[in-house]
Amino acid sequence: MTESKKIRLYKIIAVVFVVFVLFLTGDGIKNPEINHRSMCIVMGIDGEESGVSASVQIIVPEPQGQGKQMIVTEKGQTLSEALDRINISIGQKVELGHCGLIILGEEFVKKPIFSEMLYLLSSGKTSPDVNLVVAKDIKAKEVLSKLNDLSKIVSEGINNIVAYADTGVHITRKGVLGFLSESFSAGASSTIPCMELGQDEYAGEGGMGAQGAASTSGAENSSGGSGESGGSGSSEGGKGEGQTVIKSMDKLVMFKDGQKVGITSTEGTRGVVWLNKRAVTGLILLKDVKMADKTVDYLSCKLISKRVKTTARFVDGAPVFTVKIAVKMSIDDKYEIADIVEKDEQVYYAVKDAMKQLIISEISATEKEGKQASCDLLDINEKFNKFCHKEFVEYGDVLDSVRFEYDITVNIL
Amino acid sequence: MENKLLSRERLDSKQLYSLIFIIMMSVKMFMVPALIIRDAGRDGYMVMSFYIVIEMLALVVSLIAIKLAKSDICTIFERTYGKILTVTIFLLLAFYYILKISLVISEVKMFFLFSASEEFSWEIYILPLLVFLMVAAVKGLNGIGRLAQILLPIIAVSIVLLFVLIVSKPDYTNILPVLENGTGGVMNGIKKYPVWFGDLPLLCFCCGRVKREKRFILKSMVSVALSSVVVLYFSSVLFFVYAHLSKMVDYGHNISNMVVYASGNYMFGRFDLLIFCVWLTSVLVQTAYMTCVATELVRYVFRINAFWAGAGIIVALYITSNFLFRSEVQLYNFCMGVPRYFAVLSTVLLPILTLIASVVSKKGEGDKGKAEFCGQENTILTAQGGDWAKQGESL
Repeated sequence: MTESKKIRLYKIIAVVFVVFVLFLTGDGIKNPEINHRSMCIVMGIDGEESGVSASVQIIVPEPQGQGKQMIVTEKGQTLSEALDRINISIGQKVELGHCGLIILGEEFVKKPIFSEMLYLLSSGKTSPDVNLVVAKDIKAKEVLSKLNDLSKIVSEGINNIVAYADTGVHITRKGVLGFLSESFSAGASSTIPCMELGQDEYAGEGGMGAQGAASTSGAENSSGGSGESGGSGSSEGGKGEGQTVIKSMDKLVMFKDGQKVGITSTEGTRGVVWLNKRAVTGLILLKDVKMADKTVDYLSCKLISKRVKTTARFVDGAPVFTVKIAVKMSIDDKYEIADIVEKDEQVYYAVKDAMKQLIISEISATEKEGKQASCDLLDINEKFNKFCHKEFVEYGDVLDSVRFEYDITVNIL
Repeated sequence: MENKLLSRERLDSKQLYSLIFIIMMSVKMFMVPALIIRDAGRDGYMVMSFYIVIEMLALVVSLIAIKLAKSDICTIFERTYGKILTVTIFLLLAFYYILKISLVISEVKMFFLFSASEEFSWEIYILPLLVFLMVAAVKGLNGIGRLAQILLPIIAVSIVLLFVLIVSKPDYTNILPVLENGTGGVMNGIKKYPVWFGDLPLLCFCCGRVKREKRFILKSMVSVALSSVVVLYFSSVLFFVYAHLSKMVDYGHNISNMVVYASGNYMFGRFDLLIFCVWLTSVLVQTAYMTCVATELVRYVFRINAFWAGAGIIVALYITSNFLFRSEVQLYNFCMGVPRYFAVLSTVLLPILTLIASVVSKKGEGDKGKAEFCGQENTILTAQGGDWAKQGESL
């Protein structure tokens, strides 16, 4: 066969093949049409007397419109069984790849949750970084049923509220892989953000509409790094009585060996956030800042960047944990002190000192709460295991005896 | 004299560098880190480093052999070791390479099952891949070289994008503590996974078919060094990210999953998958090269033309992939058994045997050349080789 004939033959074969593949039916390639897929956006897991129950919010896309939404709940001895029952009940396989949030019921986290989390990670059904939250005083299934209310706050739904927390404000989030990594580290401790729902207290008083609330929720959340009053990152919106809103997401559920051992305070949470390298922006509220001849009750500062370095070492046989944080910030409420800051260097230093004290006090609060719950909130044991492995193996758990040293640098721009 | 059963296609130097870069990286970075981490945990980078060093040494030997060889590998092997031994070695290598191709194909399948869709008809989706491999088998070296050259910039861009997505997120201190549980895990990793490594010595089959330029060994080593850095970085990041969960990592976790983790796909969607699929073309290039080599070996052993040899291999791959090893785990377990010893033949012995054959053949050529200055063989070499023969002699 000549070269040109061969090339012609190859072309014909290629065209026939392309036509064959193009005209394969959906059944032939086992690839369901988009409107035959069920995509889970949010999952809830609740503890039962024996086993677990899984709830999924599913979206079935439709050729026109936004698609159907439904919530399906099934029980099983394991998460795998519960999910399988959901598949059976809706007659198709629920795809978890788009699931952005897993809500854990408070009952569920009272027992070790390793097996369920490991199942989600190792099966590859969900992304390793799918967000986790623990619903306080409410079942995950009930949270899912209120999702429509919550979704009015931001158009993309509850998942974005959690996702925004990671990058937009100075609070923290946790994914499945992060949770398991921390739980299997030397400290065997981890945390998951705690979501508290409640009724909108402004309902019936002409509260903000969904759009208005959406624009303010970020700012409200941003006060996550503040003093006493700024803790609750409440998001509010919608009119009418009985509107469900997220009351707070500024606390952490502490886990030891995969089991809930307590909940941090708002201040204790912020100590964790200070050592979180991912949370680098947000608003910090300084309280009672004394400067020159006046005291400013609340001073909002905008965190622009943050560098965190922690070191662990043994000094004369005693464990010492050094926290080095370099913060760049600007003063958001400039009108409060605009007249004095630039003139008086002492005022400038007063703000810096107030920020340093806030950071130290919040990390100390975290340390204290962690010790009380025997939970290594700041990953101290793991740091010692990494950097002073031999000494750590001989010494054992350092949580109760570790001494903290701080090196905080604050730059006001 | 060249063996008529081998394709007369030739690689130019740039194509060789591209192939080296791609072959060094693709399969090692794809799935095997997820296996190694189960044995060696966070110290898995030591296993990778061990094999990378072995492979670089094997490449140096292979390149010297390529430089010295005046004929193709079949001819120099026949001259040095005799026909029976050559046929035996090549037959064993052909079987081994077909097994390796099956392994890579099953990894591609596993990737799409794990990362893209849990259910898809592999019996259908494998067809385009097999058509591609058939074309590679028939078209020969030059086609694959060109493909590597064309795809290299795209693959490089995808590597850079993956790097940008990942770089700031993993906790690099997870490399510590080093050898926390002793050296047992690392040794296990070294013993169990040689089949996933040792790809570069396949370039021995380019003997006598490379248009060499000046310092081609040095440039090849730069290419392999860059590729090794990429492999080590990405696999190490996987080891660090999953450091505490090494026993729970499933075969199927790979760089793609890590990118999802690091970039936070909840914010951006699964664009990581697109980038990774672009990178995945490097795996296809390597598979194509292995198919091409296996085809030439089958042609040599059974004295058949490229079409039938390629068709035979494709059928073997289809059967292996769909019927012989019904589950991937069966195939992986099999590859951790007896085929490990064939990996030693392919990775260590092949370059050494090729180098010896090249030296012997060169000496023979030299002696013959002196006796028959204008003899038939030199005439054929010059006529068939063109520029490369001249360049080769100048080196």
